Amino acid sequence: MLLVSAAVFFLLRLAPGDPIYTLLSLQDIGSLSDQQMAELHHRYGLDQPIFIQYLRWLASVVGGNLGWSIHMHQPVAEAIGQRLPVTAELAALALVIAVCAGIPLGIVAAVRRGTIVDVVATALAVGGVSAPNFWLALLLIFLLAFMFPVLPPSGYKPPGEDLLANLRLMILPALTLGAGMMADVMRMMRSSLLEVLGRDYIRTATAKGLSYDQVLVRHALKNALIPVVTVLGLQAGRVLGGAFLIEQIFAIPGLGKLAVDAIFNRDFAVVQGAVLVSSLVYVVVNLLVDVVYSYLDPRIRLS
Amino acid sequence: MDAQRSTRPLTRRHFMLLFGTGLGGLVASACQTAPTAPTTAGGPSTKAPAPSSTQAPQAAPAATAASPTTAQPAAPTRGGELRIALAQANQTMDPHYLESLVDRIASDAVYESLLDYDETGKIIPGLAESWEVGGDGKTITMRLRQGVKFHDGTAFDAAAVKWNFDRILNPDEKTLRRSDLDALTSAAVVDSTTVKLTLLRADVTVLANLTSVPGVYMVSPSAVQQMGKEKFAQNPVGTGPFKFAEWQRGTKMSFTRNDSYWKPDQPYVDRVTFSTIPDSTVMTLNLTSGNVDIIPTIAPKDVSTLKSNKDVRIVEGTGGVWFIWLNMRRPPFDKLANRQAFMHAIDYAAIYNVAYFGMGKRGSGSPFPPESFAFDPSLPPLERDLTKAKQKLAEAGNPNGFSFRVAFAAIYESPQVMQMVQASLAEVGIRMELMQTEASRLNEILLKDRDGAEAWQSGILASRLEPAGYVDFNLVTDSRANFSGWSNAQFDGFLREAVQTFDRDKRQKIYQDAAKLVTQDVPGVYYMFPPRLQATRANVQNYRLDALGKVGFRECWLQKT
Amino acid sequence: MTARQLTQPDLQRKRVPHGTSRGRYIQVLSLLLLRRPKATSSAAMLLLVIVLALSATGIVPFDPVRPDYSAVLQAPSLRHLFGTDELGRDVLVRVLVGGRISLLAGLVPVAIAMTIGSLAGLVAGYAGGRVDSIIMRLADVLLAFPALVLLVAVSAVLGPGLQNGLLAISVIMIPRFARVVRGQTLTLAHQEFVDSARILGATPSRIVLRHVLPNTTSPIIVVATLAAAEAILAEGSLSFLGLGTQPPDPSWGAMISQGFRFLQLAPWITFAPGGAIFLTVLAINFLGDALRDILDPTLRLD
Repeated sequence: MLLVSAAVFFLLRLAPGDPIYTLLSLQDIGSLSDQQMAELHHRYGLDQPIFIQYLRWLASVVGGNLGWSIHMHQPVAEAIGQRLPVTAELAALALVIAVCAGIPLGIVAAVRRGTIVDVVATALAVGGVSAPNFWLALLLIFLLAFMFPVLPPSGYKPPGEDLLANLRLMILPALTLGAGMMADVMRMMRSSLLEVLGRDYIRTATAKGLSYDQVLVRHALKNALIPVVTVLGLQAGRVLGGAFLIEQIFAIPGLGKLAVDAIFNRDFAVVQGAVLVSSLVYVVVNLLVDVVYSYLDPRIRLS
Repeated sequence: MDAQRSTRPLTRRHFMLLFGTGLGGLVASACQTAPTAPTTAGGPSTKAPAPSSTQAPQAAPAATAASPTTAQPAAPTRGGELRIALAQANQTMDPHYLESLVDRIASDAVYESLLDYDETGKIIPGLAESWEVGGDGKTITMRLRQGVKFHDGTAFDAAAVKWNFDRILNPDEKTLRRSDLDALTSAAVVDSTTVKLTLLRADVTVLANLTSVPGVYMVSPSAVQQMGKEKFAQNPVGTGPFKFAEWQRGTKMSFTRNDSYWKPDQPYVDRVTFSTIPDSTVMTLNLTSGNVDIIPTIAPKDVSTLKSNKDVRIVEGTGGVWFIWLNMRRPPFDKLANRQAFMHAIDYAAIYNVAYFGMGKRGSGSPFPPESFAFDPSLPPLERDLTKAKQKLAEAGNPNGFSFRVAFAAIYESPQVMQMVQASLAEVGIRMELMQTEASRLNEILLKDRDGAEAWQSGILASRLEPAGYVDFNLVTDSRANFSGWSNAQFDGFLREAVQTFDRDKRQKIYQDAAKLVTQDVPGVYYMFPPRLQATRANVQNYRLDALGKVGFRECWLQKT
Repeated sequence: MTARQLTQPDLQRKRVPHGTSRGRYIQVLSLLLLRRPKATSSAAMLLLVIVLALSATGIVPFDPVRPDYSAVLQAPSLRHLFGTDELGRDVLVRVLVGGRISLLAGLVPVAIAMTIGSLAGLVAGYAGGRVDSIIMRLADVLLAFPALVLLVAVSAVLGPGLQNGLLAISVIMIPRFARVVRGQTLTLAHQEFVDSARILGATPSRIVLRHVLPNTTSPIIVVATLAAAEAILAEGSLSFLGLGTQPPDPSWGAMISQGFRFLQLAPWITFAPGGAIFLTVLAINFLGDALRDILDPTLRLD
C-alpha cells in the first residue's frame, strides 16, 4: 500500500502539466498576475520539493487527512466520501446482474452440455468478454435511449432523492459493467459445475438413489460455487477499472470519474486518495471472499 | 446575418459606459420587459434583427416600458421549478474566488453585483441605482438601492459594499477578483446609501468589471464572518432572487425563491436547480425528454433535429471566437510569409459549413467577435486562396511547404476542425501534426513551455464586455499568454489609448484599427465566430440570451400547459 | 477426446532437458488446434482481419484520411458500405486501416511485456530470496492499480500518442507474464533435469535460458493470447479517452471516440469500428480458450 502510494505520487509528478494551470480558463490567464500564480502554488504547497511534498502528504494521511482538492475546492476525503457510494451502487447492481444472469446460465449450460442452449450461452459469454465496454455502452445508449427511448441515456440522481429515477439511470451503466462480469461468472459456473458433476461423491450420491435434481441442488451447486466466488473476488478490481470508463461515458459522479478527471486535471491529492481507497476496497473485497469461502467450504475455515 | 449586421451599429451606440445617472428605478420595469422576441423565438426566425426597443434613444425608459405588449402577450405566472443543465460541476460559491463560467451562472441565482448589463452588452444599474464618474475618471460615486436585504436578514448598505471591496482588495485574502479590480485603490462610505470608489488611474474598463462578469458580486459580510471562508463557499448568502437550498457536489445545486426580493413580484419561479450534464448530446436529450428546461449549449449538429421539435425553442447568437496562435519566436512561423501562407491555405468556408453547419459567422481575422462593439463589420470574411498561399511559401523560401505541431484540446468541434485545417494545409505542402492535449498541459505550453508546439489552438467562448479582454492578455507585448511572441508598439499603443478614451465611438475606431494590425501581422488566425446556441422548453417564457453566454434565467416564468 | 489423448503425452514430452524440438512442438500444437473447429474458425477470422487490414486501400477506393466535404455524414450505401464520417471519409476504409493499429496494439505491447515479464519472472523464480521478493512486490504494485487508472496515469506521463499508448499498455501487461513464468520456474527449478544440468556445471544463465525457459512456453502462449485481446481493448479505451492514436489516423478506439458525438445523427461511425474490435477480440479469445484447453489440461475436464 505504501509502495502503491509512493508509485502514484512520483508517477504523477513526472507527468508534464501544472495542476494550477488546469484551474485557469483563458479568461483567468488574462487576469491573474504572476504574484497571484505564485501565491496559488504556495497555497497548495506546490512550491516545495517533490520529496517533501510526499512526506507531508504521507504524514497527513497517517493523521487521517487525505488532503485538499485543488480543482474541486473541497477536502479529498469528502470528495471520495461522496463518490464512493455511487460507484458502490453501480458495482453492486452490476454484480447483481452478473450473478442473477451468469449463474443460472452457467448451470443451464453445464446441465444441458453440448446442446444448442450450451452453445448459445457460451457464445454469449465469450461475446461479453470480448465486447469493449465503451462500445457496449454506446450500443445500449443507441438502442435503449435513442432508437427506443425507454431509458435516459445518462446522468445521475441520488437514490435518496428519487429511487426510481436513480435506478432508471443506473440500468444502462450497470448492464454495461455487468456484461463482462456475467460472462466470466457464467463460464466459471459452467466449467466448475461440470467438474464437480464428474466427481466421485456425486456418483455416490446418485448411486444412493437421489434424483438428479436433488444431487444437483444439494451437493453439486454448493461446491461448484467456490471457484465462482473466487472469480467474483477477482472481478472487484476489474469492476473498479471498468467503472472508470463507464462513469465517464454515462456522466456518473463516481470514484472512477473522479480519478480519471483528477489525472487529467493533475489534481494529485485526489488521484492518490482515489487509488488508496480503491486498493483498500480491493483488499476488503478479497477478505470478504475468504469469509464467503469458509461458509461454502467448512474445510477452509479449519485450515 | 445581414440583418444582424445592419442593426448592430445602432444597438452598439447604446453601449455607453460612462453615464447612467437617472437610470435608477427603471430596472424594475425593464426587467419584465427585457424579454425580446428575437432572443426567444424558435425556428428559422432566430436570426431576426434586434427589436425596435433597443434602437430607441438612450436609456429608453419609455421604449422598454412599451415593448412588453409586442414581446410577450401573456402575463407572468408564478410557481414551478426551473431546471437548468450545466456542462461542468460547480466548484465554489464564493464569488470572490470563483474561476469557472458555471460558477458564475449559479452565482447569478443567489448574488447580485453593483452594475449589470443588458442583452446588448450595455451596462445598466444593478444593486447600484446610479453612478457618476468624476475627478477626471478617477472616482466613481455609486448610489445604492434602498431597502435591499441579504438572505440572512442583514441590510445591504454602503458599509456592506465597502466590506466587500475591502475583502476583494485585501492582499491577505488572496481573492481572485483582486486582479479584476487592480485599477481600484479603495472604497469609502459616504452615507448609508452612497459609496465612493477611488481609482489609481482613469480606466474605462473598471465599470465593466463591477458587473457580475468577473464575479464582483456582493456577499453578505455577516454570513462570511459567521461561517468562515470555507463554509461560506458552500453556503452562499447574497441579495439575489433565489436563496441557496442545497448542493450535492458533482451533480446538482438548488435554490429556492427569495420571498423578500426587492424587485416586485419577482422571481416568478419557486425553485431553480442546476444539474451537471457534461455531454452535449445527453444534455440535448434531457431537454427534449423534458428532464431539464434550459440548456446553455447545443452543438450545431443537433440544431436541425431540435428545430423540428415543437416543445423546444432555440436561442441563437454568436459567442466568442476560435483561433490558432502561431509561435513567431521560432521557425517556421518566424517568417511573416509562412504565417500568411498558413492563413491563405485554410478552407474557412468548409469549416463554417461542415463543422458549424453554416451557423455562427465566418472569421474575419478580427480578434473581436460580432457581439462586441469593437467588431468591425466592414472587414470581409477570410477566404481561402491557394495561389497566394503557394506564392507566400515560395517567398518564404520553402516552396514545398514546412512542418509544425499544433496543440489543442479535444473540446467542441476542435478535433473535427483541426483535421480540416490539417487537410487544407496539406494541399499546399504544409504538414501540421495534431497534438491533442489535456487542459493542464495545454495551458503549460501556452504560458511556460512555448517550445512545446509551434501553434496553439483554442477559443475565447465567454464573451467579454470590454473588447480589451479579447486581446490584452495575449497580443500585447509582454502579456502573460503571448504565445506568439508578437510585439507591435502601435497595437500596444492603441490598447492603452482605448482604455483611457471615454467616447465610445472613438474607442470603437481604435479597436477596429488595432484589429487590422492583427490581420496584417498574423500572430494568429482568428478563423471562426462560433454560434452561441442555447435552448429552452417551449413553456419557458422571458428567456433572454445573455450577452456574455451565461444563462438568462433570473426573470423567466413557466407557462402553465 | 482424441485431441486430449494426444495432448498430454506430447506436451509432457516437452519436459526434457533440451528444448530443441521447437519445430515438432509447433507441429503438434497446430495439429491439435486444427482438430478444433472453434479454433480453426477463429484463426481463419484473425487471418482475414490481418489480410483485410493490410490490403485496406487496395480493396476500397477511398482515402482513409482526406476529408470529402461533399459526402459528410452519409448513411451506409452501396458506394460507402459503412457510411461516411463527420468529414466525409469512408468509414469502411478507415476501419480497415484502423485494423493495422489495433493489430499492432495486440502485438507490440504483448511482445514487449512478454520479453521483460518473462525475464523478470525467470530471474525472480530462479534466484529466489530478496531478488524474488523485490521483483514480485513491484509486480504486485502494478497489479494493485485498477488497470485503466494506471494506463491513463502512464499515458499522462508519457504524453498522448500511439507509441506512448502502446508503451503504457506494455507496462501494465508485464506483471502477469512475470507471475506465470515465476510460478513455472519455481516448480521447474527443482526438477531432476535442472539439477543434473547444475551438477554438470552449467551456469545459472545457461540453465535458465536453455532448460527452464523452453519449458515455460505453454503458459506464456496462453497468457500472451489473452493479453493480446486485452491489449487491443486497452488501446481502444485509451484512444477513446483521447490518449492513444491521434487524429487523423484511424484506430478503432479513436473512431468510436470521435463518432460518439454523432451517435444519434450517424451511429454507423461508431458501430463499424466497435464491431471490428468485438470480432477480433472474440476470435483471439476463442483461440486463447482453445490453446488453454490443449496446453493446460488441468483447467478443464471435459
